[in-house]
Amino acid sequence: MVFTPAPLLTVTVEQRGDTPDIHLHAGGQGVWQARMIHALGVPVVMCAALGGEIGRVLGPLIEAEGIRAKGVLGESRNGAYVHDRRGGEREEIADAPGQPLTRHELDELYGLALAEGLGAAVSVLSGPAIPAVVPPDTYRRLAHDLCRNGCQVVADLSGEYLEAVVHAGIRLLKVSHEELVASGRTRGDSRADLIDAMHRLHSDGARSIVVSRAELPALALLDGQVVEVEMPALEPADHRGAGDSMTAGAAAVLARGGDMSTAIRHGAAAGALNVTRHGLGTGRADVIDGLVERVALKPVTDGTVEPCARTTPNDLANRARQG
Amino acid sequence: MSRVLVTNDDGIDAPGLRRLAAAAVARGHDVVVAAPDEEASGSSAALTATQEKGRVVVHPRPLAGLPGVKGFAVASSPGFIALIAEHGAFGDPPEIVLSGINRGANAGRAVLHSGTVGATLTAAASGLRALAVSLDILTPGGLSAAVGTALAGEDDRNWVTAADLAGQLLDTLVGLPPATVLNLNVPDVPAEKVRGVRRAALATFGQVQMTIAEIGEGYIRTAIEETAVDLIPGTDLALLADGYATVTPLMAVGEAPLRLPEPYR
Repeated sequence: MVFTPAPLLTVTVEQRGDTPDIHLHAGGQGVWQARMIHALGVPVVMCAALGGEIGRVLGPLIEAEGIRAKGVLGESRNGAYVHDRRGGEREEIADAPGQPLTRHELDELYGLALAEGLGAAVSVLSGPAIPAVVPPDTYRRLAHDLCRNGCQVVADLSGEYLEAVVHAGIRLLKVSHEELVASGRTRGDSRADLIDAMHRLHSDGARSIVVSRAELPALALLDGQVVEVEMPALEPADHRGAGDSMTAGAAAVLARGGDMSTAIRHGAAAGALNVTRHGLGTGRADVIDGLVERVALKPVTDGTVEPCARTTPNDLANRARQG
Repeated sequence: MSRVLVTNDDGIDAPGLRRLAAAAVARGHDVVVAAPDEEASGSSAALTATQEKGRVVVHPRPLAGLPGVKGFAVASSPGFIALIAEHGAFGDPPEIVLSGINRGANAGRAVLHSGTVGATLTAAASGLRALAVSLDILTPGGLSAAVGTALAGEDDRNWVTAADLAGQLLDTLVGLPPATVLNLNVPDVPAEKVRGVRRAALATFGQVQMTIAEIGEGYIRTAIEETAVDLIPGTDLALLADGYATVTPLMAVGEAPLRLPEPYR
């Protein structure tokens, strides 16, 4: 189950010979993730709010890709953008953000996602779109209720949405280094700072964590051990979407009952392949399978890493303070 | 009345810890006990600790015979406990740190390695007064020689002898300058058999306790000492062998008064 509260409609105008070519697609982080999971051969159901004229169009578009769409059909309109790529560059013609969901729509979406999540091997919680149309509390309830019932939850969230779910006991948290900095969860983006932040996320309840670092190897914390994810060397074309592919690749492995290190290696392969191709959420399963063997998880041991935390006697005393 | 932290390196359940705490309580001090949750001999002033969910693992532990005294088992070394206690981890910061009563002597320059002494040096580094107390269970003439080391039960040892002498020395310590560290070693004999308390020099090596892990067997407590050398009169080891309790003021780490040649002036 991919929780995608607010999918977008993307309208792209391209040039084909002498005539303009107009493309209609569903978009947004959760849609890209669902598309990748589907491409990896794992059945996907997407839970989304589909409202207004745009929402009515989005449902069939998603279904046409082979992804089951379970939508709350409401009043609040989904977001949409129109891009013109005829000049070669992406030129924005219009961008209509989605409307925040009403209380009734939120309740219905929550019930729908919980029901689907309880029956799914893995639930992916994708972002609330920008600006957010769903409050963090909906994520908090969903993550806690799913985890409490023994479901595997993968979260790809940042900021107050990350904070809302981190204590639930989620199986895997994926976050980028920029998001960690923006969330105030790390002082800097050095490897040591990030590892420190990962240990804190782990202490807070995230069972495994993967932090993507743009062109640098991702860092992962699994089974209490921090590893550097050494990616296959590929010519990058587009960094956007690599993180989403990573989440999706890992979720697909977990859904098939794979272990966390396999999931993270698979995610890394999916992310690496994604950046070589224009078009978000694309990547063929067989190519990814071929790349997985080239992904190495290199343990970051205390002996080889710079001091990864700073503290004071006072801070240590606070961690032990009684009464 | 002073605020007193009592710790040790043998762990929260060691019999000497309770006796030392009781001696401080009997003299009217405000006592809190915080000690490693397991054996930490030979840990010197090491700073090690185990956390769970970002919190240092600390369990409240009532101490037999000491109602009203708060006790804590801490997953860390004694040096760490002394350090965080100064920063209020176990209630009001202590003015005095007592460490012991160690099971085995901490004598000679080898006290460098002692966890019992490490806690006191840590405390003194930030100006606290501190007293390390050890019961010498291996010196010839002591109970251990008479009964056999392995056979003497923990409760048969003369903890009371050491606790009484520690209590008396604590009265003196209160009037000494800040950052004073005293190292007290007491023979494992009944009080009336102690020939007296003497100030002692540090033996060249001396003796401290450590643990050695034997694969498949767990930890084995071991006294480490240099046995091939003769006892030098006036040192703690020599006086202990003669049946005296010994007191040695120790210095915490400081700059040595050494002139360096160019270009290091």
